[in-house]
Amino acid sequence: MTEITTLLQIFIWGLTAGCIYVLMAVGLNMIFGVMKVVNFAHGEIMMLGAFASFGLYYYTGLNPYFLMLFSMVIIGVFGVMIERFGFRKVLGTGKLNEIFLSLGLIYILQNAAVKLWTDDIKKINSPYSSMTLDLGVLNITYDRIIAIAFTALILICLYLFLIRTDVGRALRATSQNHEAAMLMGVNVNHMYMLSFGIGAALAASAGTVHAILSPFNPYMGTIPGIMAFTVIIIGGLGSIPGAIIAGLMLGLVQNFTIFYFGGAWKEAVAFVLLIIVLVIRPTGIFGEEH
Amino acid sequence: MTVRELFGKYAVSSYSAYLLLVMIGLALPLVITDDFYNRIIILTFFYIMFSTSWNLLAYSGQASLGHAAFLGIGGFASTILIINGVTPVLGVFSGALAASLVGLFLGIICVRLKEWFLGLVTFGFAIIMAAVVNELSVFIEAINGILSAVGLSGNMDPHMLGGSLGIYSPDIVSRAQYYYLFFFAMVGTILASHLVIRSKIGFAFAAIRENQAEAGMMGVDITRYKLIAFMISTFMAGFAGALFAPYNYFINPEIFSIHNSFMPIIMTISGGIGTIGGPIIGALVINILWEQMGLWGMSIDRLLILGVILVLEILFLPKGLMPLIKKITDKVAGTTSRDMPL
Amino acid sequence: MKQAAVLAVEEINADGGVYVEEYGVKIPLKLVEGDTQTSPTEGVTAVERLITSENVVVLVGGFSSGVTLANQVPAAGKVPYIITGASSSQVTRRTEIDTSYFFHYCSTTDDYSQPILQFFVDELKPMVAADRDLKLALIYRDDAYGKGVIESSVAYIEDNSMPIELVAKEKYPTDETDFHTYLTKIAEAKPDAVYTVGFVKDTSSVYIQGQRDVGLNTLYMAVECNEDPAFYELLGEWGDGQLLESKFAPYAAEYTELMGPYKEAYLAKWDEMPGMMGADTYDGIYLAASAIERAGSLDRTQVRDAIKQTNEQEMLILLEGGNITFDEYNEISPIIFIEQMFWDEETEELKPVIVLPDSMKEQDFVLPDNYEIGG
Repeated sequence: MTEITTLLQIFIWGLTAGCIYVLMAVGLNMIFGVMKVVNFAHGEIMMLGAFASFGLYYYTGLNPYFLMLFSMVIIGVFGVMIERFGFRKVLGTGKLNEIFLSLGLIYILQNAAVKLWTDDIKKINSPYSSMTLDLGVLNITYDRIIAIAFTALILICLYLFLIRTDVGRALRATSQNHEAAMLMGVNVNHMYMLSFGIGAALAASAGTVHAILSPFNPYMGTIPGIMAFTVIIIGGLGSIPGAIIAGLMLGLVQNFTIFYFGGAWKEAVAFVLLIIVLVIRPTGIFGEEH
Repeated sequence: MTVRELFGKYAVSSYSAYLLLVMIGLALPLVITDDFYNRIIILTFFYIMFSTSWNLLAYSGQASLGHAAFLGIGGFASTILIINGVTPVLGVFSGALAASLVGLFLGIICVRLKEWFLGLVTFGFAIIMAAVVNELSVFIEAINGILSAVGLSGNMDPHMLGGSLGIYSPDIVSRAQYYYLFFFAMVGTILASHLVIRSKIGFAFAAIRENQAEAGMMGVDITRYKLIAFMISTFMAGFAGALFAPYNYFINPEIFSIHNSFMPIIMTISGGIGTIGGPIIGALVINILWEQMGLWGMSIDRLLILGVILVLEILFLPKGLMPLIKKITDKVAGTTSRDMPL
Repeated sequence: MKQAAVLAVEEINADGGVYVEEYGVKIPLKLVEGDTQTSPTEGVTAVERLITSENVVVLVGGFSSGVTLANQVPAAGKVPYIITGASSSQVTRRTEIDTSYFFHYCSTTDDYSQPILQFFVDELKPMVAADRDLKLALIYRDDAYGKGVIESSVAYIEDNSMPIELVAKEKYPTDETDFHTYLTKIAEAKPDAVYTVGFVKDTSSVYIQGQRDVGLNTLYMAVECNEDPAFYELLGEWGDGQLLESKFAPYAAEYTELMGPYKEAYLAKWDEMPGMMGADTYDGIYLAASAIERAGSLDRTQVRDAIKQTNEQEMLILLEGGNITFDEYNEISPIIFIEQMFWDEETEELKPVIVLPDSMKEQDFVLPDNYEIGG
């Protein structure tokens, strides 16, 4: 009989993995919500975030969690550029073009990273890496706690931003109805850039957290990027609460799948879940009927 | 009519262009004796087949991001059958059929899905297939890598397959046999694609692609045609896979790779999505570039460049190279082309 | 692998090259590369090119077992192929093609599983499980390499009725980075040791995540392809007391004359310590050069014969009997060692020490400080 401690441990692993998914998925939803655009290369942006943080860490040696804020900004700006010079141009020419554009971006970003930094394995060492919190029932490393706490913090900040600030409200307005927002004086192009920037920054934070918890290389982002997609569809396109629930859920489901069925199904189970959701409730858990 | 107009009407019509290409294709092995270049050309034929199959599905508005799944199913199914004694020809077609049946299954799931949903599910499907095949290795030994050439030819002798197709000749090098095998398979695939697109079925595909709602209102049975598109396209892909597997002497789950799924997409888009010549030109150009860059030692760079090509295509040349080519042939012949697939 | 090859070629050419009797001169070696990109398609294309367009005399290399199995076919019967990476024994034992041109100059999966399992029984068991079977957990990559090693290990245990109980067998997708659940599962089974079959990124993560996060404080064993500077760096202090199987140990005390100069030359050229995969390739190039000289010509078949008849002194890779020879399967018998790594607080480096075989041992094997029986 499996002990409770073991199950609790799996729960914690699933939760942390879920947090990374949540950061990615919320970012994707931001972009989709405002621009109705798909970016399969979101995982590569995550990877760039990891490398940006790594670069900063390598040269300054400062606390990587602190540096993460800077890399979020850097990658956020990068995201804005991708939107401005890439996606803005194909907006309206059909969804397929958006999909193909992002495919091209995957190849470019991934291989540019390999050229720049080689595909050797890198790691960011957190100053807390040896410290653990003993909860009696189990041990959690500080890094893991920080990851979970940070995710929660970001979500709260995002929530406040969207609800309480003018810019946030403009963003929400744009995501609901472009024309109405424009009529109200919102500069929609600015909103596009902002949403992409925020989305990219979130991906960068996910990448950094991932890089602190495990070694990485330029190929680290592709699967998490695709998984993020699965998450937002399961949660409901455009719904941030959906992304949070679905992200955490996926992390948990995957880890319990590994536990009960073995590692071979870890990726497949996400897609099986996706297919089930699409067949039963295509709009996702929290999605609205479009 | 002036001579020029006559010339334009017949000589530069797409049919004569194709006829010329076919004649060149038949004669090529006599000229190119280097095994390596032979292989490059054969690989190009393969990619043309695979891209054509993807293009057909995209023609019906369904852009699959996991077409490698069917390559693999065709490859594995046919190889396993042939290793166990089934005659090669039957094995190859059975493999294609298997791919088609699975394609039907996937199609049913995807009928109500559009664009990214479809893309994501097809992508995920390739991953699921890879996992499933991997797990099956417990029951079917050596899925870790089946020595497929052994399967197809029994004794590493491609003559066997050629023999059963009636093109066996003791004087021609075995390379030539694989060449003609792929050549005719490719021509067959292109022909089939052409026939489908020009038929009522193709018309329905186009209608669905352009505006699904309207097509429905006009009385087109959307589900039926979407599924037909899936079945034909995946049959072709499976067929290509069944021939591809023995050509590499070895098949393993790597065939389900994301790269294999993306190649036909890049190739078709470069050539011109939705046209018949598109996948051909695209596969030719991209594969030649790909191999040439490989020769220059640019293994990583060429991936990067593929991405750049795709992005530039989407941004600046979304219809691919076909319109450019048509413009050139128009100029030469003094005709104006209608904007229809070749 | 490529870096070692380049170094070897440079060294040989510095001396004028390879003396080919047929032409009466020394001809410099030209290194022509083919990148197989771990894809059978690319692998076959690369080899075809090397054999036909580039007309190479000898092929050296071959990393991925799957790809090597594929690209052997164009090579069969045409070009001698010194395989220095792929560990599947199938490369030299398959029967449906002519394998007489293939030479397996590296360890097979059997070669390293056996000493590792033997080590567990002879050294570890008396210390922690004297009166019961040793509980071993396996965690491995879900690919041909991982599965191959596990299969040969399981077979070896059964065939020899070893007192080992396999309490866990976890396989993970090749791109996995988060091993916590797998390790938690293994921890439940309370193993005495964990045998990890993976590459540097996964193996190091297993070692670290197991001890630091999951509390699985047991003995971890890794396979020789992890013998690489990156492995030691990633592990850091978490490698203290843990094990690595190897046949080439650049960090250990010098156990062969060639080691010193090779390390220096490699460091000078590539600015990093050499890893194990390169060593086989380095030797392989020298082997090819020597075979060409002995054959006296560039004829591929004669060169092949020369390779077959090789009886030269061992180089970087230690072999049983001290000489490079190929058995009836064209395989070699490398001497495998087990290293134990220790963390040096002062220099903040992880360094290995050979603990087996007795003939080369630097010190005795001890249990890691944090070892808990049953994890």
